[in-house]
Amino acid sequence: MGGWTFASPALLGWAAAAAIPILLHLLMRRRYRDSPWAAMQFLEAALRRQARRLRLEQWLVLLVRTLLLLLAALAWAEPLSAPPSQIGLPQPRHTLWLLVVDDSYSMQYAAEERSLWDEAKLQVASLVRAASSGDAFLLVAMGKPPRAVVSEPVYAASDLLAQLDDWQPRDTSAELAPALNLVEQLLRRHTTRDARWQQAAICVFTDLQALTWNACQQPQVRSQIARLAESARLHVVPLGSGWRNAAVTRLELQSPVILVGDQVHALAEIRRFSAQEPRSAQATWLVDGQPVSSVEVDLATGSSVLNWSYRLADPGQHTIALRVERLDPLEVDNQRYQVITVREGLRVLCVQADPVKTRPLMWAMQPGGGDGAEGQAAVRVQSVTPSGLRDQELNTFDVVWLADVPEISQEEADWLARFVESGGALIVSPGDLTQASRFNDIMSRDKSSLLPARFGTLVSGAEYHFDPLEYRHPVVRPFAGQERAGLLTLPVWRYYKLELPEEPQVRVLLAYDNGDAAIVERDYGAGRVIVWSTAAGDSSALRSPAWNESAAWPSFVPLVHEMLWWACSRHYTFHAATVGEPLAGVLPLEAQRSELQVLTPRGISVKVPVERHSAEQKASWRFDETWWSGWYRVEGLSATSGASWYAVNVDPAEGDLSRLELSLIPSQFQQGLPDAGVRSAGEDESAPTVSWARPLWAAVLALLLLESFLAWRFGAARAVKRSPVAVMPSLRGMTRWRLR
Amino acid sequence: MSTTRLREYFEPQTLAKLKGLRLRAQRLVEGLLSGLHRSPRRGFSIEFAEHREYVPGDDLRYLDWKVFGRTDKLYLKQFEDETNLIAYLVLDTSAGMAYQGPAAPWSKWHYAQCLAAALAWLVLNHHDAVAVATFDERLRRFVPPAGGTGQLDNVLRVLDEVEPYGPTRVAQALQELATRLPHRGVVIVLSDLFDDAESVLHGLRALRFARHDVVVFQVLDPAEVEFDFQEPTRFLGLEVLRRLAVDPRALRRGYMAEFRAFCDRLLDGCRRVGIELWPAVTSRPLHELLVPFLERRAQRIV
Repeated sequence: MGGWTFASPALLGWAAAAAIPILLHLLMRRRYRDSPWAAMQFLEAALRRQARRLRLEQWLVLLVRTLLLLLAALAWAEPLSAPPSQIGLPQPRHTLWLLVVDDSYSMQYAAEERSLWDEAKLQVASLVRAASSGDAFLLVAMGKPPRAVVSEPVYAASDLLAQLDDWQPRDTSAELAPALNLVEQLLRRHTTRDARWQQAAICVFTDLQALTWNACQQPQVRSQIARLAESARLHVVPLGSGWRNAAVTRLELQSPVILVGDQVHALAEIRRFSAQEPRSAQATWLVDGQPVSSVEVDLATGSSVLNWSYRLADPGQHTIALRVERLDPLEVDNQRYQVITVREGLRVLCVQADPVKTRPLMWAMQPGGGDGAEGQAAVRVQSVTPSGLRDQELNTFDVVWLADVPEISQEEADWLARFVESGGALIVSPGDLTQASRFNDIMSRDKSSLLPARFGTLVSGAEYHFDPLEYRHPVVRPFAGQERAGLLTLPVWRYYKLELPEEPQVRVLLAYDNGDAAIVERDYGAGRVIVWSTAAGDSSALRSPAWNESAAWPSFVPLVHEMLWWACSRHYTFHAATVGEPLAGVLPLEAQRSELQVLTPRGISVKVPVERHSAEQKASWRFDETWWSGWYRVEGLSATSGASWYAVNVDPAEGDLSRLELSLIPSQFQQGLPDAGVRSAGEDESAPTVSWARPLWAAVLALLLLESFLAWRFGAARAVKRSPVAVMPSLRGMTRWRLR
Repeated sequence: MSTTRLREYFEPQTLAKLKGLRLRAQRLVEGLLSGLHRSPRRGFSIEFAEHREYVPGDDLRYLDWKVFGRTDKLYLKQFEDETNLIAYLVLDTSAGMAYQGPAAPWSKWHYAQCLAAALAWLVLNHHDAVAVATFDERLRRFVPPAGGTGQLDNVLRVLDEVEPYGPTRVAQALQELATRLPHRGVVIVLSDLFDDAESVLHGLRALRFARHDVVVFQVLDPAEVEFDFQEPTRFLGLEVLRRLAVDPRALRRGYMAEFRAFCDRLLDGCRRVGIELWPAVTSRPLHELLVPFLERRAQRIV
């Protein structure tokens, strides 16, 4: 006879429930109702006569109830023992299979008639069919993020195969360490909970892409694998052999916002990851799903950069895609998507306290238009005083420019923050009237405040010039090689020293030659905020002392325009994401919508709830299921603009299908499909176990019946109501009895 | 006495049921008004009735010296007399009478009060005499027998003033009462009789042996009869400072056996000495008890 174990020892904790009847018994003793009583003599006599029997009855019921709970806990924990040798019936040991399938998009590689993904599913199916009866399966997807497709053990092969059939791969990449974490959690959960799984096996079906599997060389992952090997057999099933792949790794629009009739300038890169093939390819540009041009791409050098221009006549959103046909067996990375918005003009609200001082800025924004009047120019400016700010409908503007505004109230700051968060742009430039401390207090209180920097001390007394910071930023990039534009020669005599928080989101567009930041920016929600350190459009001809000579400098107009376009482009770059990244946005609270509708590239329509934040006067939405590359159409964002498009692209790095050398696979992994029917050498076939759960449950049932009977016998049966006369026949007699 | 209490004593429904009925003793009391009954009172009549043994305090004028001469024993001569009926209402005022169970409309004492008041009114309404006595461990209050509306006031005042209190010793109280009742009459005892059954019977027998017509209304609460408590209960003794925490459902059978044995013993003992024992459960309307009782008494007159 072997020792005793429990299939689920953790469930033994429920044995503590056996204390409940005893506690109830003790509690009941304290919960007597008080009642005055006259006929004590009969009670005392009855008690004297029955005390012993009553005590016995109480103890008997208590014993049965306690035993009942104790046995139930024991049965639930399922005690296991080695059977008596005379029985001698061998019992199979069951295996818990954790089947981990790499569902990153590299598995869609289809060199032959089947993709690696199809091959993986076939291998899984063959393993499941060959497994012993009683084995159970869990299914884990190794993509990013990893997930348990089947998180509870499935015993029936047909059920698992049905799940497998419905399982579609995603266009995500893969990560080894998080996948192993999930596997470890599942393994621990099920083997701890259920002692039947004395043996477990983890089988990974993967293309062994180096990008993913190089992680197995990291010490942390190695120790993780070692831990898993202690409690399960590890198998890896490498899929596929040779490979060739190229991908569209880049598709950039020169500007995500253009005006009607302007040329769309796009830059694309096609890169070959494999050593030899493919050498060339046919690339097709598509606008709104329709091919508009095609070009032969030479990949002899490993990559090719394409420049593309196209004129879009209609305002609104347009989808742009570059597709390379029959490039290689992995189709998903042979195309890339973008969304561009064609506008009829840029609408700017210029808030200023002194029209005279800001007139150069107005002219710079709208060179061909009148002062404050809407014209037909690309930039249409409307000028208001600070007191008129709240009267404006901000949603009708793309950019708000606070030029030399004395101060902003908290209410106005909150209002502007919501405007920016929902996709607007804000530019702040100081001046003589600006109370820097008020701006700091209201709009730069902490790191999450609207402005990316605080106005520090006023620097003056010398002449400063701009440092273009190697023209890295898109705003100043057009000035590269254009010395005559005068960006570097523009004299600045006064500026606020901008105090920048240590945040990567805060970027310096332009600096001074002494190292101080001249113009900084930060993305805020779906919008963008830019802060100047000096007055925009000042000149010594206008006042003395002047902040700078920008109004008279040739670089001012292009700088202002580059900034305006850059400021409002944030909203449109917001319409691009990588597979797996969420799509999100903010709606004005006035939009009385409770949900949006998202149409995925697979044609699946998903309803997305709109979460309302009354305190912040806004509503937000978020869609996380961007599992496939392509265009996502979001309906209901605005009552006027109809649907809005979002472009979701794959991570181009996953296109490198280089494989891990088999020799580098950790030694704990056995390579190849395991033989599910053959036991490993360490397994002891002669040590089957017998479960005592069934007899224990039978005993629990019997005790339940006994308890019910005893409760009826000792309680209810005595509590049958009877009329006084029925209870006391002698009373009936008394009423009839008479003298004589 | 409050008007409310008075109205309560003479509940119209009860009185309407009783109108026209007369309370008459069948064997021993003769009513002066009707002349139909013979009084058991041995008093100032010419017609000799019987002897009884002398007890200290008896009037020596009625000693039968001839018998003393013959037997050396002191006997009193007793004479038959034409008299009105005298109803002695004897109420138990021990603390146990204050009990009122969860299903009862009123306490046992309240019930006994009303029953006594109704009986007093009936008797006085027919120009008979009423006396009232209360007892617990011993005899406490005694209103001598008298008739007329003034006596009704006296009776009601006593009933109203007394509150149930203290333990009970039925036997001792009734024996004391038996020696103090001046005339024969109908002794109506209203009590739960919760004492030792033999002692109770001993006390009742003392009254009976004094040639009184004895009627006992055993006033009981429905809870005492049914003992239908469902929840664990701590019973606090009203007459004794004792508390018993029990599961009434488990103890019910034993309680009922004890209670039934007690009642059977009382019934049997009363039957043996010719005492009427009427169970008066407080949940029953008063007239449902009085009407059969008075009808029974009326039949015995004829």
